[in-house]
Order: sequence, then C-alpha cells, then structure tokens
Amino acid sequence: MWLRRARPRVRSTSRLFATFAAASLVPVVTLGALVVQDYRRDAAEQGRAQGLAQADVIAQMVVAPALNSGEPHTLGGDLSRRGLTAEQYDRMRESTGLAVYRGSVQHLRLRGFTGRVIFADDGSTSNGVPASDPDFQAAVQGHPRAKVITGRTQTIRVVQPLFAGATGQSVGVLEVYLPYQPIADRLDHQVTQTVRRIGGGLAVLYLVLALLAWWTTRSLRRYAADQRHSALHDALTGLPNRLAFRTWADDVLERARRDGAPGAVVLVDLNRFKEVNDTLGHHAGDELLREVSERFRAGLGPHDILSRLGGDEFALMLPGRTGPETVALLEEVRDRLAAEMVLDGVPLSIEASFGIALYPEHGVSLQELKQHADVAMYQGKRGTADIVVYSGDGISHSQQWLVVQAELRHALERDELVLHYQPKVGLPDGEVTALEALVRWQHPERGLLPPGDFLPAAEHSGLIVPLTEWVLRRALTDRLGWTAAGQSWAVSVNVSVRNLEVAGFPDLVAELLAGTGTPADRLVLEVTETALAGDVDTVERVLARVAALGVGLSVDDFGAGFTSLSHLRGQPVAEIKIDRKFVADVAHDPQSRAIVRSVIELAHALGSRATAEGVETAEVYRWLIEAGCDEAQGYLIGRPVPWPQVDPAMFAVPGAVSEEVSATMIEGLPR
Amino acid sequence: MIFLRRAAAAAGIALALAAGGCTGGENAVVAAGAVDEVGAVAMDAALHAKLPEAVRTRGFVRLVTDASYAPMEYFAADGRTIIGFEPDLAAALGQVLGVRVEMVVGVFNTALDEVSAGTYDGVLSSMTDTEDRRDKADFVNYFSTGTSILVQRGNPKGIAGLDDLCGHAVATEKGTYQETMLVQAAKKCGTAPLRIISLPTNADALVELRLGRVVAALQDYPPASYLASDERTSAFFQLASNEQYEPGLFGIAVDRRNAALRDCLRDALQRLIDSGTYGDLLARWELTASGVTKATVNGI
Repeated sequence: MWLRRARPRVRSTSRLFATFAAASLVPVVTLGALVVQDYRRDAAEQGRAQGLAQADVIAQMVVAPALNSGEPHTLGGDLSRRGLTAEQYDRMRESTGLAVYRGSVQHLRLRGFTGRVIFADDGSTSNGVPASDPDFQAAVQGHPRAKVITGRTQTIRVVQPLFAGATGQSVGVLEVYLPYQPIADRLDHQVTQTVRRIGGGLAVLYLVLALLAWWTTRSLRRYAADQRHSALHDALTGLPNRLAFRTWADDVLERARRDGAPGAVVLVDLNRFKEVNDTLGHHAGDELLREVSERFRAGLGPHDILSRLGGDEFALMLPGRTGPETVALLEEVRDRLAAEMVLDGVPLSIEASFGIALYPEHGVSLQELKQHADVAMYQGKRGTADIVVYSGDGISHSQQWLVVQAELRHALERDELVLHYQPKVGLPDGEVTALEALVRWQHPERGLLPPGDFLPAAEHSGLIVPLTEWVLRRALTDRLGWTAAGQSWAVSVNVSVRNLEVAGFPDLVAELLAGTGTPADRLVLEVTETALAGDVDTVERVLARVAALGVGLSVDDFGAGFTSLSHLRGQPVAEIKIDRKFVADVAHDPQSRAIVRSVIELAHALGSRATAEGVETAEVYRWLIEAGCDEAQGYLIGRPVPWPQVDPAMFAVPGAVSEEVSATMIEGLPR
Repeated sequence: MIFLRRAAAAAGIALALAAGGCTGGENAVVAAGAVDEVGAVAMDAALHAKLPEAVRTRGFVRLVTDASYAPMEYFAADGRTIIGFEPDLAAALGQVLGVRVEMVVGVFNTALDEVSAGTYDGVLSSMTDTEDRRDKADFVNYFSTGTSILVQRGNPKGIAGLDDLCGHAVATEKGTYQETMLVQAAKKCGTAPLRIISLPTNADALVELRLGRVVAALQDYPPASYLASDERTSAFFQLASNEQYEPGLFGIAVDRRNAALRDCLRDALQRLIDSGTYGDLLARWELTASGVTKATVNGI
C-alpha cells in the first residue's frame, strides 16, 4: 500500500531533477561555447595584430632607411615607375638578408602599386600576392592587411602600404611573410589553457547548479510528502483520515469488483468515550485514542486499512476476509481493546461497537457499505452484541430512513401528525385512569402510519426532539379537552433517550405544564428501559429534575430491554410497565407467570405501580387482577383512538368470548 | 543632367553676351567662382577662353608641390592622396577656369627649375614670393604669412628669437625662404656659429627636431602653428614665440613666359575671393588670418 503510493512521487521528483539538470546544461554549454569561440577569435585577431605591428617595425626600421639613403629626387611617386637605384637595391639586400637567413622573415617583397615586384628577397619578380587580391588592393588604398596562411607551416602574410619617408607618402606596397607557427603555438596553448579553465569553472558551476537543483527538488519532495501525509492523515493518531480512507477504500473496492474478492467494511465506535473526555479531560481522551489506535493496528494484517474518521469513530477496510473471518478478527481486536489501560492513574477498560458490512453481498459502493455498517453498529449499540454483522432486513430501514426523516420534517410543519390514545384501566374495577398518547402519521400518500414506520428514523436523527415536543404539547392540550368534558384521566407520553440527553428538556416540560395549566401529577412520561442504559449521568440528572416537577415517570417495556436492576435504584419511578411479551404468555407459560408476578412484586416493593401491557384476552385480564397488578392496557380494553372516541365507561370483562380465547383461558387459569 | 546643365550655362553666357554686359538679371547664372545650387564652383567661360591654347587642349594644369606642410599640403592616411588648403584652392581654381588643376608631388628645392624646364605648369607649395625667385617665375599671390621658430615642447634651449639660434643646429627644408633667413641670421652669429641643416622635405626637418638633433626648425607660421596645436604632435612641438618673422606673400609660381596662365590664375583667384569661396576654403583649414583681399601678381 505504502510502496505503491511512494513510487509516483519518486518518479516525478527525479523527472523534475532531470529537467532542472538538462535545462541548466543548455545555458552552461552555450556560455562555454560562446566564450571559447570569442577567445579563439580574439587570439587570432591578436596574432594578426602582432603580425601587423611586426611588419610595421620592419617597414620603418629596415625598409624605409634603406630607401631613404638616396638622393631627394628618388622620393615621391610610385616605385613601380621608378624602381630602385642600385644603391637602394644593395642596401635592401644587406638589411634584409640576415633576417631572411635566420627565418625571422620568411619572405619580403616591395611592390609597386600596379603589382610589379621592385624588390624580392629571393630575386624573383614573378612571385607574390596577385595585384587583384583584395588585401593588395587595400594596401594600395593605404590600409594594411594581415592574414594567417596555413600551408606546410603557419605563416602570417602582411600586405601594407610602404611609407618610405617622414612625409607620410606611400610609394608602394610592402609584402612580408612572417613565421606564425610560434605565435600560433603560444596562442593555441593559451586557448587550450583558457578552455580548460573555463570548462573547469563551468563544470563546477554546473555541479553547483545541479546540487542546488537536487537539494531543492529533495526539499520540495519532502515538503510535498509532508503536505500529502498531513492532508491524508489524522494528526493525533497518525492514522489515515476520512479522505484517505475513502480514496484507498475505493481503490480496494474497485479491485474487488474486478476480482470478485470478498471483504468487509467495519465501523467502530468507542463506548463511553465522551465520559472519559468529560471526566479525565481532553488530554486523556487523546491519549486514549492513541492507545486504541495502537491496539487496533497491532491486531490488523498488512493489507487492512485502519482509519480514524473523527471523534471516537474508526473505520476498517478488511480486504479478502469473509464474514466469519472478519468477526474472528474483530473479536480478537475487541479483546485487545478491552485489556485494561491506565489513564491518569485511572484504570479503564475500553469497549467498542463494531458494525460490519460485507462486500459484495451488502453492497459494492463504499457509501452503501458504510451506511450498512453504520446501521449494524447502531444495532449493536442498542443491543447486547458489540460485533454486529449487517443483516439484510435493515436495508429498507437505512435507505428509507433518510426519506422518512426528510418527510417527517415537513410533516411537523404541515401538522400531518395525529395523536391516538389508548386507555389504561385500574384493576380490578376497570375504571379508566389514564390515556397513553400514541403518535400516528397521516401520510399524504401512504395513509395512516404506525409509529414503528417513522419513530426509529426520527430517533436516529435529531428529529425526535421536536417530535416529542409536539407530542407533549398536543397531548397536554388534548387533556384539557377531556378535562373540560369531565374526565380526570392522566396522560402518558413516550419519551426517547435522545430527549433525556437534552439538558433543556425538564424546562420544556415545566413550561408546557404551566402553559396548559396541567397539574404535574396528571402527566406521566414513559421512558424505555434502554434509555436508562444510555448516558447514565445525563439521563439520571434529567430524570431527577423531571421527577422533581411532580411528573410521574414510567419504565416502559420492562423486561424486554437491557438494563440491570441497579438502574432502577435511585430513580423516582412511578410506574413499571411489564412488557407485552410476558403478559401475552401468562395464560400458558408458567415461567412468564413467575416473571410477571415477580415484576409486580418488584414494582410494589419500589413503591411503583405495576401496569401490564398488551392485554388482549379476558383470561389474561382476570389473571392480572388475581396477581395483584395495578393497571392494565391492551386491545382487550381499548385500541388507540382519537380521544373523543375513548369509552369512558367502566371496563367490564366481556362475557362472550371466542372459542380460542376460552380454550386458552381454561389452560391458563388456575383451577 | 550634365548635358542639360552645360546647355543652360552656355545659354546663360550667350544671354549675357547678347545683353551687352548687362548683369544682375533675375535669371542670371551663378557668378563665376561662387558655388551653385549643388555646391559646385561656377566656371568663368571668358577666363577659360583666355587660357593658353595648350592648356585648353590638354584640359589640365599640373602644379608641383612638396606635400609635407600640413595644413597647407600633406599626405592623407593612405599615403597617396594630397590634402590641405592648397589642393582645395587648386581644385577651385580649376573649376573656375574649366580645367583640371592637378597637384603633383615633387622636390621643393628643384621645383622652380622643373617649371622652367616645362615639366610642370607651376609651383603650388607654400612658396614665398621673393625677389630672387622672380628671376625665374611670376607669382600669383594667394596667401600672407610670416615665419615661426618651432622648438621641442618645453623649449629646452630657451629659444626666444632668431638671435638665440646662434651656436645651435637648426633644421629647415632645402630651398625655402627660411633657409635664406637662416643664412642671413648665421652671418650675425660670430664666434658661435649657427649650423643649418637643410633637408629634402619639411618632414625630414621635423624628424631632426623631434629627435633633438637640432634645437629648432624654421617654417611658415601656419604649419608651425598646426604642429604645435594638433593633438598628435603638440606633445613634441611648440612655437618659440608668437612672433611671425619677415611676413610675406605666398604665390603660385608660373613661368615668366607663361603670362596667359598667370593672369588667368590671378583672375580666377579674384573670382574666388569675390564670391567668398576663397574665404570659405581658408575657414575650413582655420587659416582665415592669413587670407589676402586681392589677387596680385608679384605683390602688385
């Protein structure tokens, strides 16, 4: 995973460096070539200038004195007309002989402007530069010219006007051939030396540039890597963050789709992390997360991806693992997590809820899988199991929930919700004591929906809070209605654990009571048992404040949920409602009977009323009376209806019963 | 074009003759010796007609010169072209006369003899008009100046005047009026003789002075002043004093027997003086102070 990601960066930086190196090589080489070329040209120019200077000296010190020796009339005009006097000729031979012999001068000729040879060191009159040569013509016009000629040896040929006397008059052309080899050798040597120096300097410069480029690209690479790392990783734990998880998990899923490989997406939520944060401080919370990450990592394989999505929420991508393998792995991880750790001197045991979604069976997209894993995880949080594999029936939920949540928002605004009431009667007299408010949704398309169709969705979002508020308000208003009609029934309203986690809830209740002028003892809040198992501290505080208002608290669905009895201790419970599961079975199941009887006793012992839910037969009704249950509720007594339809008459056990009912009655009743 | 211009000039002359010498017409041609609309000096057909037959047939006049006397006449950098005030004056004279006036390099000392022998038509080489020379030639005077004493920069021997030259060697060009002046001066020296070094060209005299073999060189004021102020030579030479000795006239020497050419040259020069062209040429070479106001022959 890591190697695969590191490679493209290395390639791109080496390419960057190569580009740098190549780009800087071009100007360096160009500069070198230009400098060398310039230097060579300068050297050649220098050689020519030297040749010219040398020829000038020869002209003035050798030739001019030899010519000047004669009579005045020999001066002036063109040598090719007059030639030399015998004396001048001899003196020329004398003064040039030695230089020619020693090789200081290779050849020396005096020419007339027409090109005629007036004097030559070797006596020949047919040799020499052609009169039509541009150099010769320039010399005729008064401009000296030097040219390097490469034959068997290098020679510099100078053709220049011959100024014979002090007047500055040119009388002809002097043609001198000077040995250039020593000069050329020296210049070559200089050029070579310069080329070496410049080449060396440029090489060093290039090296420095290359080093700088290398150093810069390395810094850039590191910086980019750092940036990338921090963009994709959680600073606290060093784990891949949500973004990285999505990217990498998408890759894995893409490959899995091609290969048909199985795997799992797991969402993990730590239980009671908030408690640790609140009680031990954020520092401890951070420490806890780090420790948890370490333990997670230790339990995972090299191809598994662990990511912290945020808060105490983690995600796992486990490619190539089947459901059982995943569960086995997670059990191991759970055990590692559960091992005691000490934070700030406080020993802790961390528990977590794991929601598993398997691919391809639970979906192929990450979005889908995460949603399903989320559903499974919440299931785990509410249930007893801490590792929950998503089960297919939740599919409709999770997908529909979003729709429901959106619609429910509108429903509240459009007042599409209605309250139905189910009566509770006192035992044994059968007088209606209270009505339980049950919310229904008059859906514009789907008709009247039972609460099971939308409450879980509402509870899963924050929507339950305004919903409960609405129910409370409506229920209290309705109570005013039946009070006006002469009934003194109390009203029961179900509240979710989410309501109890909102600190302002007691104030809301108090405000509504005051607003409707309802005596506090006429309101009962029914709390599901699981609510008591939630964030204990907050819930307990809220419950205590609500109870302090005088409002009765009722434990709903007792026996079906997951609570330890200790939760009941310290709670000001007015009523315990025995779950319908047990109540329905009392007719034929001795164990249920034992349980119900015990709960009734428990309720009484706690100073609460015991209320049986789901009373559907007269047989059960009679048994409950006998068992000493305080109140009953169920279809036998009355279905949920709008309150004006509630039968206010004293409930009487119907005399005529169906055969089925009488059969169970015979079986269920003690004889 | 040339044909047209010539035709116009001829027509102008014809018109002038027909008008019986009446001048100053609106459509009169440019006065002889002045520059026309394209900067060329206008010809005087009457003078051309007065030229000796041989000259008109040849179409040119050859004047000998020793080109070692900047800025009067000297060699350009190419060593072949003669430049200076005198070549310019010669060309202008030629244009007025309608013939080419050539400057030919020769030896100053023998120049008059060459003219007498008929090799050249005259001498135009900063030659001073003296009585002695009038035996051989007539002089058309075109310039007025005196002689200066040129010494090495710093004047190491402290030469202030001609008298100070006694006991020293002094260089000059052979055959010049300055040589004569030195001969005169040497006579007054007595026990400390003045040694005169006469050389073929003025340049040779300057070489002697530059090398310190002589204490001074005598030459006319214009070239001496030029040497003392030109940036290439002012480091080596200076004037002993601002005094100009024995001021006199320069003249174009023409053979005594060639009065026609002499008069034509004088008249042509007068045309140039009158038209201002002469003054312009002087100004070009910074010689305005030495100009003459009237063209004369042998000072008259």
